[in-house]
Amino acid sequence: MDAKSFNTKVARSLDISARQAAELIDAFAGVLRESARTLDPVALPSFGSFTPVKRDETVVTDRVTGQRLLLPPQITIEFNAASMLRKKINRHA
Amino acid sequence: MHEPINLPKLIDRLAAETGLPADEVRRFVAAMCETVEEALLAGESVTVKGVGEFAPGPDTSHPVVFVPDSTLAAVANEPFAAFTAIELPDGITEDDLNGDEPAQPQEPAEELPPPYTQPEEPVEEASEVLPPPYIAPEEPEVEVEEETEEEVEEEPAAEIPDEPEVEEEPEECKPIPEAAETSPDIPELRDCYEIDDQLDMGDGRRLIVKQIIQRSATHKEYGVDVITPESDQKVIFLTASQINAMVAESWKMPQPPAQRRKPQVPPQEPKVVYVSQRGGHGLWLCLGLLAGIALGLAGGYMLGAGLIQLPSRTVECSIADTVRTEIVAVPAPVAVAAPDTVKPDTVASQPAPEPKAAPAPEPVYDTVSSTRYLTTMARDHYGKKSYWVFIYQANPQLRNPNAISPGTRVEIPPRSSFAEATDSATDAKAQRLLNELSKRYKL
Repeated sequence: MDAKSFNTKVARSLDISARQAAELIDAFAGVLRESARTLDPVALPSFGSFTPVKRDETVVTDRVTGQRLLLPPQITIEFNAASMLRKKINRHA
Repeated sequence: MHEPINLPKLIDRLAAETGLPADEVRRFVAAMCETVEEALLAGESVTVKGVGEFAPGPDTSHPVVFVPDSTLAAVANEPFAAFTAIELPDGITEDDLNGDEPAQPQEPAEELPPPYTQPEEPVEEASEVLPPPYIAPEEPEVEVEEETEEEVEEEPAAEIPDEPEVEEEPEECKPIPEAAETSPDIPELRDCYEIDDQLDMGDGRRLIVKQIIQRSATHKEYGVDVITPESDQKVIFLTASQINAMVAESWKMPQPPAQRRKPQVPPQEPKVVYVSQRGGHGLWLCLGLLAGIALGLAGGYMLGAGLIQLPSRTVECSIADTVRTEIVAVPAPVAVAAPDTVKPDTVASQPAPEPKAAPAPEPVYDTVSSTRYLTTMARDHYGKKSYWVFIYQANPQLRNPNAISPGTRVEIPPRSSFAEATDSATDAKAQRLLNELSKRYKL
């Protein structure tokens, strides 16, 4: 499901226009971006949480050339599915 | 610890941002979660704009795989945007990189990578999957050698024995009172430095802070240029406490003047981590490149618009002037050979100038610019602006005479090619041409 289909589906389920749905999704993405800046997790009950995780700089080695690189620190956004969602998916699978 | 954003806070924020009532926002959040959930249950992946892609996971332990949106990842990694991967020279080991670090505070257990024993051949044995590929996509096959707790703990603290613990918030710069009291002449010692801070060590060496590397939330490391009288400067990476220790030690041990020029190496000199420029030269190179491109574009635009005249055009003008002079001065030989100025015998004694074969007149060219039109050229070359029609006529490539783009090179025909017997006849011819052109182009 691409972003447009998702947008349409959300709009239909809420009985609002696609534009309004897009605005809401943008606002949600804005909150996520802000939380990523401050490293604050965003928790959605029974769905999951988005957690920014900072990784320190690491040394990686290219297996082919043997060249070692010092990679800078980085922040990744991890999604941890809630237990309810896990159960549902696992039961369905 | 960071404060999590729970559902009420999220709803408040979304309501404040969108101006919608909280109930509607709550319904939206529920609908969004439901839609994603339904798609995952159906085995589909879902892409949410600005958030990322949710996909069914490979096994039950990882039921959902989330790949953040590129914009989200970019915003999250904004603080590290200036950092790039650095190739490590062969002589540098991880111990060199970590040797000067103080013991770091214990991380939460779930965030720590699995500890590993020091391998003899880390290239072969260390293995861990790289973090998501949007951060370091350049290297196809790499092995991660993570810093582990053991390494941090077994780092030789004896190298810098009296190194104080770095405070929790290195951003707060304040002088260390103890150091300042014990040796009042020591420059201000701090636990935090800024770029280009300088400290004179008294023995000819100066420490200049060139780079600041944030290695963790509680530990800041500084790239310091150590400049000595004899040697070139080199970059080493020190903590604030190590910088303070070096300066304090240097000032505690005054040296005789003869030895003062010698660079004093502190007994516990930290290892040279690596010599590199983290973006410093690259930044200047990029700036220079951008400036060059901008200058080139501006120059090209000004040249195209005719605001700048190339030297070649000046040459053309001088040629045109010469030609005009020749044309105007056609009767001049008669004046030179006038009998009242030159004696007949003198004239007879001189060999009569052989009539030269009239060389084909070299074509004269001029260039249209925003300040130089066909009329200007006609006035310059023929003395009459109205003769521009002859220039136009001699250049069949021209279309609308009012829409000749600057930079167009036109041929200036010799006056003899269009001149009639009398000036009035030439004027009449020019007027006829002008009338034709006026009808054609509605001048």
